[in-house]
Amino acid sequence: MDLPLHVLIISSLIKIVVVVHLLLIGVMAMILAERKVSGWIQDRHGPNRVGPWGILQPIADGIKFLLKEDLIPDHVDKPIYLLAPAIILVPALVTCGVVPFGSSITISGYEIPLQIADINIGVLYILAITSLGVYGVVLGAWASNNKYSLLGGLRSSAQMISYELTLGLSLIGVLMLSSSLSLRDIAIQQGGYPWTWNFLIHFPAFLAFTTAAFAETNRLPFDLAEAEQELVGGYHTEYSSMKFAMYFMAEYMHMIVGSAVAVTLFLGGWQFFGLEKIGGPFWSGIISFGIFFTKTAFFLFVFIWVRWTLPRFRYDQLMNLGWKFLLPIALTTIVVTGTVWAFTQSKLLVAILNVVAAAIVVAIVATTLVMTREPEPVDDRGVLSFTEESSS
Amino acid sequence: MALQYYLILSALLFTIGVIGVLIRRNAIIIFMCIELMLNAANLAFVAIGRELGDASGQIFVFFVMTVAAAEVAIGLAIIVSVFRHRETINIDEINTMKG
Amino acid sequence: MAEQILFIIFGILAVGSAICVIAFRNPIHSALALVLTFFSLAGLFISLGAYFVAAVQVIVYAGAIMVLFLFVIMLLNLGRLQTTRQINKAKVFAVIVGILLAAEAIYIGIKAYDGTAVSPAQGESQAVGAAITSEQLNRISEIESTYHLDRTEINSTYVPEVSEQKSTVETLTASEANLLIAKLQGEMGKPDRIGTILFTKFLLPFEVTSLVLLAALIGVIVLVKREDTDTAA
Repeated sequence: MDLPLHVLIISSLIKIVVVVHLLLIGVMAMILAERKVSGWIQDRHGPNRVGPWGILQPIADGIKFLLKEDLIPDHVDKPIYLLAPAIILVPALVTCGVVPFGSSITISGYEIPLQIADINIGVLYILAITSLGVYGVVLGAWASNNKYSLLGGLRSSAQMISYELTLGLSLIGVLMLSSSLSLRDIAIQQGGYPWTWNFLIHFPAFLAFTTAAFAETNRLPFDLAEAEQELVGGYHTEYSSMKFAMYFMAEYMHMIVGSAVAVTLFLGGWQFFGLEKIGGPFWSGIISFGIFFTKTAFFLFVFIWVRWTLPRFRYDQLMNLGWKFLLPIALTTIVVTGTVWAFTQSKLLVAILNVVAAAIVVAIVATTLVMTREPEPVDDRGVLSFTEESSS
Repeated sequence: MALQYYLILSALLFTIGVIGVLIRRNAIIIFMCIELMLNAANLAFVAIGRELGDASGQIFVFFVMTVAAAEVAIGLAIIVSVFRHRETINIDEINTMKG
Repeated sequence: MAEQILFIIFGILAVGSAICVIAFRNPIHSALALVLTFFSLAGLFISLGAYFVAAVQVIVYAGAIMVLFLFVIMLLNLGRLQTTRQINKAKVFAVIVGILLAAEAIYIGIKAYDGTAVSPAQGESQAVGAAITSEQLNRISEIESTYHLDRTEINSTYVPEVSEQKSTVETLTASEANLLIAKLQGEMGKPDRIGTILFTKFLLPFEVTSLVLLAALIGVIVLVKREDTDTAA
């Protein structure tokens, strides 16, 4: 694996360029896919005017964004207002530096791993970088100097802090069994068969992680920071043209990177029934990338599917879900995985007990919530009165 | 890289924190300066730990961070409740114990 | 070389942004400058080989603590408070005290540490080809016990990296042993090494820390909770 320095530098540069462009193309593809899938879900055609089957729609969108008037309102805090869209893009871009998107390619005798950097604190790095995503939203919201934006920013910061906890804690079980923080090691250890992948062994943690990842991308059903029916546009109300486009792109980049990370940690990365070993040292790398790509695409489809299926959470529901369900589930998986692994070293037992324990926890929490729920406010005519309810 | 440079940097950061605590009147900024001082100490811990070939320095940083997190939570809660009572967090105006 | 460059870049960034923290008038700008300081400190930790601490620095400070600060500043809407800038005697005095303190601390940093405690890896020079000393063997077994390493593991993985033909610690020469010690120490920033001593040597402090966090949790709830639940914010 030890490459000569010049090969290392050249291959790393090529990988960086390719990955960044793949991400940008991925964003374009996602914009189209989102519209097409939403059209399909809502039983309509979706974009079909620009180019054959509307596949040039993202380009039309991009041109529109570029040509719109770039407005900077008078009342904004200018330096931060300009910085915020960049701040939200950067974490999404740098996260993919540690994600392994394939096994390795052998070119003229050099075995080049399909990963920009395999660092020994990979998972921590990802958690650290994702935790910075909130700055773009919060700073943009604050700098806009607009009530709606500020409310969006407040919601977003509370939401991100709450769900980041779950995001980090749900990974502990996985890390315990893999005893490595390197994403490549974790992916390899899962092997090629779906029943040995982490999502089955740590099923509750997988659910918690996925939900938290949804929340981190600020998409429906977690788009309370945006919530156009309540807050106009939330944190990006005052943004227009390319600055808005950067927020827009960042959302899709976070989705793509989040899916890639989830695939690596829970769905076996680039492995599938040994398919990744077919072909020579060159083609197996390409095939493994294809497998990784397919898995990520499936995950992205789930993202879109969920968005167009579920309505937005109310704020108190969001906080209840995060603190009263997901966090206890994540904590339970840590306890269960640790205990079982210390005594039996049986992955099957870990898988079963994790699900059982999570089910028990959910049952307990749900019962407690139902028992302590206050009766719905009903006025004397027996009609539910929807009073302003400030949530904590 | 010699240890001295890290210690000097740490001393500088610590001093900036001290000056900040002394000259600023905004409770939140003072609080941030305290964080800065803690971080300066962390840098010294890690640098000396490296020099001695002992990971205990890093463990101490870990503990400092945990305590800092707890301290920030409490401190910000105090600031919020003071602001609710007084509508200000200027420490020159918060100089009586009576609410 | 790489360490020098990293130190210069991140050192200047850290000091510059720290000055910005106390110089900016708007709390939000100060908070952002502080985030930058924390980042540059994380960079310095990486240049010191403390990868785990660097990652935790970003997660805890930049990701959690500063977001909390921003949240409170935005909640109280402090960015709009106009603070008057006055230079009074107290401030001049504070700056003088600060400069004196800095001078003192720097002096102590340079003088008090004369380099005698330098680890054996960089210690006195030995004759080329001399056999491994008992001091070095002691140091290696000390490292073994701290990190729960196995002598066979060291022999099989680390010794060949130092000297290709050899496979046991005892056969190394003194200079090779120094390399080995340096290599073993270089591993200490890795998360598994940190975890090992955190959960053995420092287990009790670790548990006590959890109590501190619990106390903070309860304290915050008591402090911020209002009497009437209807208007809870």
